[in-house]
Amino acid sequence: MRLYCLSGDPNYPCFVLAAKGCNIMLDCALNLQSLQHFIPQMLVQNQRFESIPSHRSPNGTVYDNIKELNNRFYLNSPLEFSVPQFNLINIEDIDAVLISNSNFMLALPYLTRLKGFRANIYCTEPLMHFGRMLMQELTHLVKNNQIVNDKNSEEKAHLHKFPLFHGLSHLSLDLNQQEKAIEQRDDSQESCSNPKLIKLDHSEPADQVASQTSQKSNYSIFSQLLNIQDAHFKPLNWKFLYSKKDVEDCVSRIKLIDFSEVIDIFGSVKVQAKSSGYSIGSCYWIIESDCDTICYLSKSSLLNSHSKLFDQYLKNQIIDCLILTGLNQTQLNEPEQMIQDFCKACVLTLKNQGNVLIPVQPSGKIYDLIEFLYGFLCDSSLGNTPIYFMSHVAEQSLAYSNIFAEWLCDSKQALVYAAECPFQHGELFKNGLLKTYPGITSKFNDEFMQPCILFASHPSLRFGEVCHFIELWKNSPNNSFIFTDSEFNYLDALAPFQPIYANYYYFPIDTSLTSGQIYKLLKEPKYFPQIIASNHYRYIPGECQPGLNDHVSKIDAFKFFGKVDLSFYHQNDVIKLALKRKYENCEIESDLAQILFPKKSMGDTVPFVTFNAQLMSKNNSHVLRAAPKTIPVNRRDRIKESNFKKYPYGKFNLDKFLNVLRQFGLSEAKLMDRDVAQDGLLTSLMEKDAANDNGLRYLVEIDASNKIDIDMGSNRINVLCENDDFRVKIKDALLRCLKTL
Amino acid sequence: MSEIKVVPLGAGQDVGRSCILVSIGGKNIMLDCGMHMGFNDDRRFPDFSYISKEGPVTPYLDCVIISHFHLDHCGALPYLTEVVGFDGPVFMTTPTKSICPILLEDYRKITVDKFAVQNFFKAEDIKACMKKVRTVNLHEVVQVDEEMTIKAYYAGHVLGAAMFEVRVGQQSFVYTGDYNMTPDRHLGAAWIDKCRPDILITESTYATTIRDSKRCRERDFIKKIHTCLDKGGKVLIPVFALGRAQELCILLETYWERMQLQYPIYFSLGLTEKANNYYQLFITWTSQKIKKTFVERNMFEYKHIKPFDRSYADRPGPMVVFATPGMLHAGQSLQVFKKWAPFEQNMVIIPGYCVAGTVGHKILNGQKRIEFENKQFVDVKLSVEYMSFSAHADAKGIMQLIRNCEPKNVVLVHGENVKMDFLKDQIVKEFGIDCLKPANGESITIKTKPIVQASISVELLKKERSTFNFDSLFDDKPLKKQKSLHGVLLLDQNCIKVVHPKEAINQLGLVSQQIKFNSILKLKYQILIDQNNKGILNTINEILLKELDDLEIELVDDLKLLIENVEVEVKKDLYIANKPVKDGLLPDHFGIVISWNLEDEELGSYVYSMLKEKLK
Repeated sequence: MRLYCLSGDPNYPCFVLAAKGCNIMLDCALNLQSLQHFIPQMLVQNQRFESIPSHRSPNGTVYDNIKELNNRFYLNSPLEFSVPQFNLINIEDIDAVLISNSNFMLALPYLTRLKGFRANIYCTEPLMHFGRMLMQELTHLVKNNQIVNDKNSEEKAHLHKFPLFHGLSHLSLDLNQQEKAIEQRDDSQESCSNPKLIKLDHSEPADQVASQTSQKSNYSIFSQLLNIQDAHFKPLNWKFLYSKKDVEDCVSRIKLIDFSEVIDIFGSVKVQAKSSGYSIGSCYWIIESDCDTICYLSKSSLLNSHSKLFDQYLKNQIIDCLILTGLNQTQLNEPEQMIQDFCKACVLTLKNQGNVLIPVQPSGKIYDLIEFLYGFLCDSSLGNTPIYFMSHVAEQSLAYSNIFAEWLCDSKQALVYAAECPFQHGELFKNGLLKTYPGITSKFNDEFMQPCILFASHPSLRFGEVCHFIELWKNSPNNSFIFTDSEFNYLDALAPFQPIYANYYYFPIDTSLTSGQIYKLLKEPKYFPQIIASNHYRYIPGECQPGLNDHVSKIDAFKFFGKVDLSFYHQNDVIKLALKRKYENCEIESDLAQILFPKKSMGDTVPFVTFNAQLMSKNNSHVLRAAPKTIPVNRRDRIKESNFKKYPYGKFNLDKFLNVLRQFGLSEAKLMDRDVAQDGLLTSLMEKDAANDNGLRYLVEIDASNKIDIDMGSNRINVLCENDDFRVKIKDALLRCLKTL
Repeated sequence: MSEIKVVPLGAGQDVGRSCILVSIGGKNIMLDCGMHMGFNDDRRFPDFSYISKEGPVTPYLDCVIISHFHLDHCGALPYLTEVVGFDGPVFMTTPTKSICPILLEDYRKITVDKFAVQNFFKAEDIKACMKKVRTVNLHEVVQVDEEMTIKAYYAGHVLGAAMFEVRVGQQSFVYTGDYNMTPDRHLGAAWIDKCRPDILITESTYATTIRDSKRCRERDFIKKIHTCLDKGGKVLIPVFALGRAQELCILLETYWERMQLQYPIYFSLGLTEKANNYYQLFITWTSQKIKKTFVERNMFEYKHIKPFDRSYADRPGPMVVFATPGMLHAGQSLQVFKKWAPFEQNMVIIPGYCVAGTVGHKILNGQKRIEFENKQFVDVKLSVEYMSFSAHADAKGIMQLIRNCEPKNVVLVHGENVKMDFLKDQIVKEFGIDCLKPANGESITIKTKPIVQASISVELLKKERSTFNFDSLFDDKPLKKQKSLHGVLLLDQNCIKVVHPKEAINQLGLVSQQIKFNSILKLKYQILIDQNNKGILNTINEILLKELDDLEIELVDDLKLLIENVEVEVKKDLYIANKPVKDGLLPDHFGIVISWNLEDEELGSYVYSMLKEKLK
């Protein structure tokens, strides 16, 4: 068994597990860290970002797509993403894709559009919906700059409609009114004016790289300017986002599964998902092939939030190999404390008549944030503060979160039994305290009230409405920007917007497993398991500096007291799993099972029985049924019957052997003294066999003319004989003296 | 030989009061725990004394499974858990767990408060009972105890209805509850995979019907209502609050919208509002279409359908009223019926099955005068229509389900005896499997051939793979491998292992013995000279190939070959050793040594005797 590591970053995992003839992809995450190297993509032209001069190298060359801003270098081109290394494997060989988390499936459309992809994608129903929403939001928001520029003139015509944005006229637009026009243009442009995308869609990976190389001739310089350390995080390999159609195609290939549903992959591997407690429908995977059990533990949480609790199955199971990803990135920050601080900061800002902007992902953590925050606001008699949730999929996200009762924790389920919405936001939405908008629409413009709380995507601050509100609110020290996501470094995210006069807070709420919890979870491994983790988690004594580094969970092999075999991987590594397959599953049919009575005789450790059977092997499964009752009489046919095979064991007793020989009619059989006998004619033949065995050698005299040479080691008997009739008698006598299986 | 025992306590050759006991692999499982709504005496509940004459039932019952929330499937559950005192696990789906306590409470109110029935469960009993319920998701494999697992499949009959597969070791059965094989307006079709259970226990409500197309039935239904309203009549549709009611509402709502009709439609209050809430929360259990559009348009928010008030029944003019309960045995639907029954222009449409003894059943059978309590009589003059809207599988659907899951035996329940006979013949004819239809209290036993799960050693498989497979010579299908195998079965710590005898000797800690035979064929040296041009070994090879062409023969060198594990070696100077050769004089004999281990005795001795015969 092998594990191909298509991504080195445990926060964006992608593996292929090759087990027993099956290739199973584990997660397919899209690395969004590339975004921080781009100029934020504003929905309208931004004077400031536009007016930055292009980078000029010391030798005078001007690079149009590299800009320098606040002493940092940024790419000024459509956003690009770092995709898992699909080149490492043959796409056609993938049999199944297992998804553990809605954030870890965002690179799927890149995979499904590749030629030859035919695998089934398995994930839970909530994951499919939330994953689809995240992809839809990406394709909706990440646009080609060119299109934005084109429609700019039209947008300007709309500006006067929105008095709120008069002061910052370059920021406002009504996306929705123009949605149709843009989408139409989108379609036509994707096919003609954007040759790069088309090439990506239809060519093989190798060609893609080639086609992009020409476009990115100066990316290598950019790599140097940015001082990107990770050799695998190459701007050259970044890719433009997939299209809406790619997303549809991808989602249509998903097969829905339930927790603990056992899925058989070609009869050789069985997989099942277990609740990981991290978000609605998130899971870890148990992969069983015959007697080996592999656990793929992705983002998991032992915390009691809104989703179904972590399934303790892992603790009670013998795991041969554990693949570990998605550990806590901020383990020194207690989530409970962070959420308290978060609420306090919100209230403080509101009391100063400021607005609160919270850049968030449109699903998951936001449900908890809204509930906690609303409770806190009510306690601070600010319960009437408007809460806005702006995202292309905001309405969907809230609606879907309320229909997955089976995937929620017990307390939320109890609400459903009383015909109530499991999440409070359902109630808030009905009362008008929480409002959702797909974007900056005229409706939003009319209803917008300040001070307010605004949730908006995307937390990378490189695209989405959030960019505009950062620009809009950054100049007032009354306003606050609150970051709760540890995925993106908030300082890097904010850098291009500097100078900022508003307050910004960082309250990372990460509920995933910490290294301490991992140790506890595996405290008493029932077995000696192999643990495979990213090199990012390698604990190097003394390397940890106080500050950022110790937030990240590290795994210290020493803490397992040598009870596990720990291996760390890098991107593009192929790890061999330390599994030795000794057994496979088989079925014994009732007609055979009925006639087998395992017995335990004197001195035996376990009951056993020898048997003959018919073995049927088909599609990796084996069935044993009773052997046919007719025994071949023909000697020719008997050769192929393994039924007659005998494997002797037990202590050999020479005296008994001679006695038996006499009973068999060889009445004169007796042992001859080898020294007395003249040198056996076959000595030379026996020499080589006896060379390594200091056993005894006997000559058995059957009668005057026939002698049989028997060479006897501690557990081997060599019989040398010219007459087959005598040989058969010797054989029968030997079998009489020994036991056989 | 193992067996599975099935005893219906209810729903045996009968509809209503579903309750079936199954004993499988030492476990006792109760499937559904329903009440009979046609009776108001002891016959209402299943006869639980069958399980245990005296004392607690918990030790005799491992779990209870409830298929859906209809009272004829779950009505006796609080009685079982609280009055009889069953304390073990109860399984049902999440929607069933949400809705069934409401229906139970509703029914309890009618029977206890209105009819003052004694020996019934109380409101607290329902709550306490629900606490014992564990929920099951679709396709989730739930480990009930160490040996038993259950798995739910979508049944489509009502919101949250499920079929259950129960597996104990290698034995399994499927209980369908009520199911529907054709998707309707708000629910999808039942689905099951090829799980090949030993027994399929299926409902057979519509065992003889093959219903006309869904569309036709809908058109009929609407036409009847429309004509009646145009004539100034009132239409009463008795329904259960959940399920069919929603489907009919969606149907009428869309029709009213399209035809721009103004006739009022009322829906009896209370239950129904909450019911719609449940449909919104459990949208994942509804049909694909509703699921897809639910964010934009919620199908369960109606424009034309208004809540009903008791006083509306006396209003003049045409109207449509949906009222609960569905079989006209109590409650609002019965009250409205009493008021409207004496008038010819009115109509009652019964969209589902009615249990014997209820008013619904009586009027469907053409009874024109109904007696109520206190010697009160009502003449039935309104037209009575029966529309088979009940979301059960018809004969075609039942056959389809059997085809899908490939059971080894079929047991029919929840249907009328005569109709079952018809279906039974069909099943036996088409599938050639046994089909039984036990009556209430009648115990049937089905023998099963259990398969034992074991681990087979890779070593053994490899050895068997390398040895020849003679079936492929005669078999046209080389893919299907079949071969004889000699192995040892070990019982090692509750794990059954099948290993190669050599491994077994090792694992058992026994002293292995290897017996090797070296048989010498003494031949005239002349043969060697005769064969000199092509070599004696080639001759041997030819002989072997002729006889044993299906075995693997390997020529090691000029004087040695291997056939499988048997070694054949030519020793030209075997008989020279002790008789020094005079110059130029050839020895009289030479030898061929054939060596094999005891396990290859058959082949070794065969090769020996064959060479002996052919070379002389």
